[in-house]
Amino acid sequence: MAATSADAKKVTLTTSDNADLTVEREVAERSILIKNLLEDIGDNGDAIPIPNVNEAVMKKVLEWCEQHRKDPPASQDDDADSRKKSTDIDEWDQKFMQVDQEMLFEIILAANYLDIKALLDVGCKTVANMIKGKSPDEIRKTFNIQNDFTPEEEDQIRRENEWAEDR
Amino acid sequence: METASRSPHRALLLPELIHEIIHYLDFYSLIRCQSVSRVFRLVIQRAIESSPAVQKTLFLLADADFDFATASQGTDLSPTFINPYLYRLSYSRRFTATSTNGSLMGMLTLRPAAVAALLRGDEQASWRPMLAWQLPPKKSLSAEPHLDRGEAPDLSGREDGGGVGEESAVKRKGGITLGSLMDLTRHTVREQIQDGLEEYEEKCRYAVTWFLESDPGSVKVSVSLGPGLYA
Repeated sequence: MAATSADAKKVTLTTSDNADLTVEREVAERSILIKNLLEDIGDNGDAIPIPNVNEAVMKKVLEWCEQHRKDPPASQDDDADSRKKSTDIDEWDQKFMQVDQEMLFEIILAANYLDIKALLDVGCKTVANMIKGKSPDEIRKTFNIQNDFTPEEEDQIRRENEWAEDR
Repeated sequence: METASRSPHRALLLPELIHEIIHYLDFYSLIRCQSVSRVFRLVIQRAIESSPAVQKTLFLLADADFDFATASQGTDLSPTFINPYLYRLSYSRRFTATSTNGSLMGMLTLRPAAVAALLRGDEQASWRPMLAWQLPPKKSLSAEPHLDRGEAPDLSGREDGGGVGEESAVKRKGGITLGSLMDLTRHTVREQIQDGLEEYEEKCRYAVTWFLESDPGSVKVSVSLGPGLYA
């Protein structure tokens, strides 16, 4: 039986900007990092430091964890190679990811750090969908990436890939 | 504003994150992303060597889970079935696929860039080890060449094509690679057209028609090669 809000265990997370966020343990344990920490150190009521994630991003991450609190956990061998490559994203997640690029990449970094594979997947799918159909130059502009190839390298790459532009 | 532009950089400079993202990219996006930056190129090239998922997307590895039965029942074929690297459907409206008796037919023309690559005879080209089709990987496949003149320009004095001998056939377990198919194409055309090859190749576009037969025991690929279709 699911715990009621009154008796649900809570944990406090301290973000990089020293904000304390208190959430139900079940929600926080969508993060494998936090789950392992709680198992290792025990739930003694102390706040868990999350030094790589700030309050704004952590709130977004916890919003996602709350929505997906009942999802089945990722399996052990659920690595990038074994996952289905569909870039379909469910409706709630699509809306959730309608944020500016700064926040999108912060969520991805946080999901990676906190070890929340399903959230990392949604973030990476969102970025992959932004890449699809774009030329290398458009991709650079979209993500503000510097072209760090030398002119010679660029020439060679252009020759290698010229076939791919003829569609 | 400085912070706003830095974050995407930070995330997109991390090879492990790029590695995660590229697993959701399709064939052309993977190719194009190699031209974005050094870190993108490095990550994708490493994935080509080590990631079965990326290898399958780029047709470097046969997909054991590929659903041939479903693919052969559609009227259009998924780009995951035919390697889009060098081929495209010649006329998508005219393209037909049937599942009668487990057979599947289609006609493709080689893309101009593919013909250019063929004419260059680039032995080191990265597309050479790519599979032409996704087929059950444990089957032994054969490609049997036939030259079909079709609607080629008038090249009087040259023989019409036909079978070019079993020695030209390609048989390879695990699938027919584009390199072997290209070699077969060129060999077939050269064998049939001794003179004026250059003129012939300039004026024509190669067509590859193929026929797959699927039964519990084998999958056979027959390929007719001809210059019958124009752009």
